[in-house]
Amino acid sequence: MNAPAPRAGVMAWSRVLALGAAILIAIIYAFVASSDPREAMKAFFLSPFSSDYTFFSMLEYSGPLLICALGACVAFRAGAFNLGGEGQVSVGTLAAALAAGISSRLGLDPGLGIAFSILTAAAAGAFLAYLSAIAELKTGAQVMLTSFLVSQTALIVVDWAVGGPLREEGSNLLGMAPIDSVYRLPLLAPPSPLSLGFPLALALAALTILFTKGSRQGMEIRLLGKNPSFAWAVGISPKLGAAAMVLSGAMGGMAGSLLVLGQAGRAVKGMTGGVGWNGLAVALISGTDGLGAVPAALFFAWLDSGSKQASILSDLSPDASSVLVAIALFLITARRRGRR
Amino acid sequence: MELLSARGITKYFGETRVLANDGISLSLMEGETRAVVGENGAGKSTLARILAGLLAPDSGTLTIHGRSVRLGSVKAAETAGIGFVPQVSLLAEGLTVAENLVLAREPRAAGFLVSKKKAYVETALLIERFGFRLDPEAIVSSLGASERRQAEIARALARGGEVLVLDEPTSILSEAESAGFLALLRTLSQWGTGIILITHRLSEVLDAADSITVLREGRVEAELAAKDADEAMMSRLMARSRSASAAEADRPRPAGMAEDSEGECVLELRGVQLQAGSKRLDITLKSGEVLAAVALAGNGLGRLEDLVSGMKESQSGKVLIQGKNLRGMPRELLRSTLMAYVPSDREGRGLCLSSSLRENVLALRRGDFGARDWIGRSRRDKAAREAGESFGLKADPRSAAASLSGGNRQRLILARELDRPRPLLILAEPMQSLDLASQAELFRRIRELCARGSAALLIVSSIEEALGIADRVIVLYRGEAVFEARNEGPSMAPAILAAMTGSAAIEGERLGA
Repeated sequence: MNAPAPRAGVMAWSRVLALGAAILIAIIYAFVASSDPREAMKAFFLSPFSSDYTFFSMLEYSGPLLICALGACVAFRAGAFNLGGEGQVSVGTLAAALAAGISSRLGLDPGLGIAFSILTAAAAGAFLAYLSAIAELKTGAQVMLTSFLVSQTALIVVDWAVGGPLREEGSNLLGMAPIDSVYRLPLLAPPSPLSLGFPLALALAALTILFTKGSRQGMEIRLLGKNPSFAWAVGISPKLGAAAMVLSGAMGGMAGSLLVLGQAGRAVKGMTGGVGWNGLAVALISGTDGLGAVPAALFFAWLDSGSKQASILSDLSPDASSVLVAIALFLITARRRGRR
Repeated sequence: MELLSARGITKYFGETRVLANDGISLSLMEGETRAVVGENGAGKSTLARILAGLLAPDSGTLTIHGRSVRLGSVKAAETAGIGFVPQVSLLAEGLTVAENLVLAREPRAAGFLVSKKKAYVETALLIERFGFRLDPEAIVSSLGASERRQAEIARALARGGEVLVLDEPTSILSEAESAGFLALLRTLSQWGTGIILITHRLSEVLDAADSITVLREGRVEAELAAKDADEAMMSRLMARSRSASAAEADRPRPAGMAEDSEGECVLELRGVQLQAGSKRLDITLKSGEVLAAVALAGNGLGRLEDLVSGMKESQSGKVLIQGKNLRGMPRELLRSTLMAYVPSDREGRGLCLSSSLRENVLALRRGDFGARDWIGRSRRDKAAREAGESFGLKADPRSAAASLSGGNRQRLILARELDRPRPLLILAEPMQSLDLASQAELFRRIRELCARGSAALLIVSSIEEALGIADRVIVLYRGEAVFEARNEGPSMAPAILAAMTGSAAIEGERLGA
């Protein structure tokens, strides 16, 4: 009677197609912008795979990115447009660094100390998101606006704290003192920066997918995001949307903790570097079902490290990856709109 | 002199080729007010929209002053002098009355500047001439319902309207406002304006109209002069064949509790106000009983549905379910164990269109399935398929709800809501899009559930559906219960229709008299 909807498959292909088009545009861009396009392209696309070090660096970066993307997916699913990822990551970095400091002072067991840092960071991110969620429940203020505003404020406050009162004395760096090395995430392939953060992110992705697709609350969040009046009619509380928002914030905070506990080993001013926003982009590209977030985050990390390498090895601008990402995003979202 | 003449207007709708208008003809003289009456679905609004050029008919002709008018074009209709006032107000909220009146044909000063002064003068003259009670400088958003209606009519006249087509103009007006409005219409006809007045309210017809066209099932059932007509007669004409056919079919009596049941009180409304200024409403529904609330659009039925289903909170009075206040009751508990709810807004509330059929069916059984069912999906598929098939819905459980036809969407909702006994069934327009076999299944299911102790509140605008299943019928008019009686079969139809249309002529078992 009704043909099974091939929707998911078609959508996935359309995304791959859009990414392919973005790469094509990148090649054209390289030809226009570089005096030696061959060298530039090689640097851009292949340099991340040229050595273990660059490859593992790319993976390490994809961890926090993936977690941010998963957080954005969870919020999107519930119909909450969480634009505060960047600020949630930022408070996460501060909270993780402070918690690591406390762990040192208390002399906690390393495993316990790491868990304490991650959870504190998650709680900080969750609190930030909670402000927006509760504002929407109580007053109807739009999450999309409040999450952005709260996040921008948080960024300023964290930067001030990290570069001001909490700054390590006598250091040239605008950052807090390095955390005790036992409370950092174990490195998996030294000397590369790849840490336990990456497998943690993958595990979180698996959990998120199981939660959104398989659990009862996952289904409720999905229905709430798709049709709020239907959700209310069948007895799903709008508070669940707020809960999804808080969860999303917690994931942002957790991503922040990976930044601190991984390669950097300390909280530094401006260390989020747009990972929250890029996570949002990854979520949009992957289509908010969680599963697509893993390849999309890797793709993003590849573009990012490729453009960094290309700017060192050739005359391409380091902004090339942002342009590429923007193009990919544009193509994908344009295609999705067109389908409706 | 004949102003307007429509001949053989015929309009089909949809794939099923439903005849909405079947060869309708009517004529209108200068200064004549013709009322077009009929039940829901009789084809009144379709006719109005065809005359206004909003819909193109499949066949038929229209002439004004003997000149033919191209059908299906709003512009052609306006140029010919037809002004349409739809049920829902279409004024620019932020502009003044005068600005609205001259919108899109603003008087000019110095060739291109809009002259506000000229607009006000023009408007003031029009208001003066026809006796509107309007301030040309008032901002539309500050106006009340009655003033809005006047402004819309003034706008139609300002655009050169010689014929006004008014679709249920008084549905948003209070009784007092309606009276003033009808007086205004009489002034207009003295100036030669022809008026086609579409209405549900028979009392207004006798007040305001010179002639009456009664529509039934898309056809002209009768043409009368208002002076020869009375409300009972119109009611009979509007409902005629149904009473006849229902009499011969003689549906089996509903199997609810018999005489003066002593069942437990399941739903109770205490002092609930459905419309601003309306009398407060008390309703009691007992276990085993099927109560039908019937009304025409705009008389509080939607509000009643919102309040008893808990979709919206009542500002006045209380809604009690099994003696407990609905307000503050955990929503999930309410819906999973206490109340089945089939909403009239099928796509908005009844379904999540972009979700799968499976998810829609199992939306009330969310707790039955966990993460392990995601890996092996078959258990959920099976449950969804079985539920659907119990209502004759055969479709892939994984297909999107949006891919289902209207009838299947309704079956899906019924399958979800009536899958297990719940003490209270709120059924708003539950028959929509159902074929006869599914309707019969629905009737059977309601009786079965009520025989097992459920209580059902049926919220419908069709008398036939109400009399087909209910033990008791309540009629709402302007938000008040104007009629309440036990169901005694199809012979009650004219009395109910009279109550629905606000007619005073029928002496039924009136309430609050």
